Amino acid sequence: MRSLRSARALAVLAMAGLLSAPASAQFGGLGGIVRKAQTVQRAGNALRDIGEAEEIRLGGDLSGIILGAAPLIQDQAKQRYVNRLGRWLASHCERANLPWRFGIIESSDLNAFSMPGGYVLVTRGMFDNARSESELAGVLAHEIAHVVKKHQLNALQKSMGNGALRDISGLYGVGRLGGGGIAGRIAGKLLQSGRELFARGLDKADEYEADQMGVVIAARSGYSPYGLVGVLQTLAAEPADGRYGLMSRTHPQAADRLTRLDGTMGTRLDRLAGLVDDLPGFARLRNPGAAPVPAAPTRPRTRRRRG
Amino acid sequence: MRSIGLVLAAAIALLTPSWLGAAERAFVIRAGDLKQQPFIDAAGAGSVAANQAVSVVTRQGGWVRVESNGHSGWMRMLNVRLETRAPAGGSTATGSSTASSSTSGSASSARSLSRGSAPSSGSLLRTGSSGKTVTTGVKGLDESNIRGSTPDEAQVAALDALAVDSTEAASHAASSGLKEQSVEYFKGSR
Repeated sequence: MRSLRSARALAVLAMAGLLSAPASAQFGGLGGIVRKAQTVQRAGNALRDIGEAEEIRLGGDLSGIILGAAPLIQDQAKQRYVNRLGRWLASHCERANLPWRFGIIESSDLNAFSMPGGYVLVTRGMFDNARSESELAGVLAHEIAHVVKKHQLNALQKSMGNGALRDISGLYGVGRLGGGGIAGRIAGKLLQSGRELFARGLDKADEYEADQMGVVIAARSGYSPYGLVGVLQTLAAEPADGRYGLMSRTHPQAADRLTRLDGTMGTRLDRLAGLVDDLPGFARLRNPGAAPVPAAPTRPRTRRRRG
Repeated sequence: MRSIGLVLAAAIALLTPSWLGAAERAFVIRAGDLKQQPFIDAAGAGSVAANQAVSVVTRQGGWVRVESNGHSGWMRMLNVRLETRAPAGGSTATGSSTASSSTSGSASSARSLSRGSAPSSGSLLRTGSSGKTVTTGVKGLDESNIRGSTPDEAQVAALDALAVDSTEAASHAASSGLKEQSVEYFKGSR
């Protein structure tokens, strides 16, 4: 597995021009392989400029991180449903031709993730506790917007930047391209940046943007754009830790997101007719009893009050 | 420890009615009229004041049906916020949060502003009089899970296999009665 993953990551970087672009003078003296400082800038833009095929491979690698922590649920009916819904939503964005894949992962948390290339993961807690299909659609559309705007790619570029160069220049010092050790270290670097990305989250501005695009993508697909509003209301009412823990630490506060959405969306989408809130197929599949959100404390917790 | 927590959680779950269909406690963030129907030009059904406590009974599109002080009517969803969900352990654990639902609005506002940073002990259960804490065994997903994750190649392959094509998605959407709309992104959001 490791070597396969490594080869994939290597291919990504190779296509991105990083492996053929030795580092800048600031890391100089590595056996004469160091060349022009201008390559720093090339590498800085490399992730943003990678081709679609490489972006998809990278997305698969990054999905593997989340799936390694929380595997897909064993419920083919739900997985199929979320893929039909997600693919329909993605057909109404600017990157409709990506090979979109959606998955429900085993976690009672309320959270969702997206990766470059069209990978979207949503927790079982989010699926089961959506009040309606439009709420799930709102979450998926928000994640789709991140992929459309390449928010994760941009964040990886920021975090890896010179670090990736330093790593690669060091690798040139110890061996030749194609050695297993080189690939392994590059893959490790990429995966570590991915882990940091998921643990820290994206820029607030990217989240606000994904909210504003997400409600439009949902409406284009025939769903009430207020599904996302309902989810944000739920999240804003969650105690700060617990089920909403990781998302609350990796996203702007839900109350702020509601305020922004209120200001941008207002009543502008209210004229649309025939929008769908919920569908019987989803109502049959979701199972709030498994992990209720607003009232039934199947996940008890204590809470220290301030002051 | 773990089994105690699970038993307690199960017991509490059995005693607690499903939230589905139950009203959600909320408060008004913007004063306005209630409507008899979920439409902007529907007949009036009274009014609500900023910070007034209401119960959200149901939702439809951009509207919520609320009840308060014997009145009920529809108001815009974006004009209400839900009260912070009470942690487990009942009203004694939440104190003023529960007691103040009908008091003045400044208290509601203060609660809503502070909820995001309120500390919490996460998935722990404080068992009433004894004060013992036990884990509930419910799986969450946090930073340490992700930082310690080993990528799972087989799971990625399984995820790849779940993909449906746009034709199947469109067919399913059509049979569900979903109707495409032409909507531009908001200016400044791209």
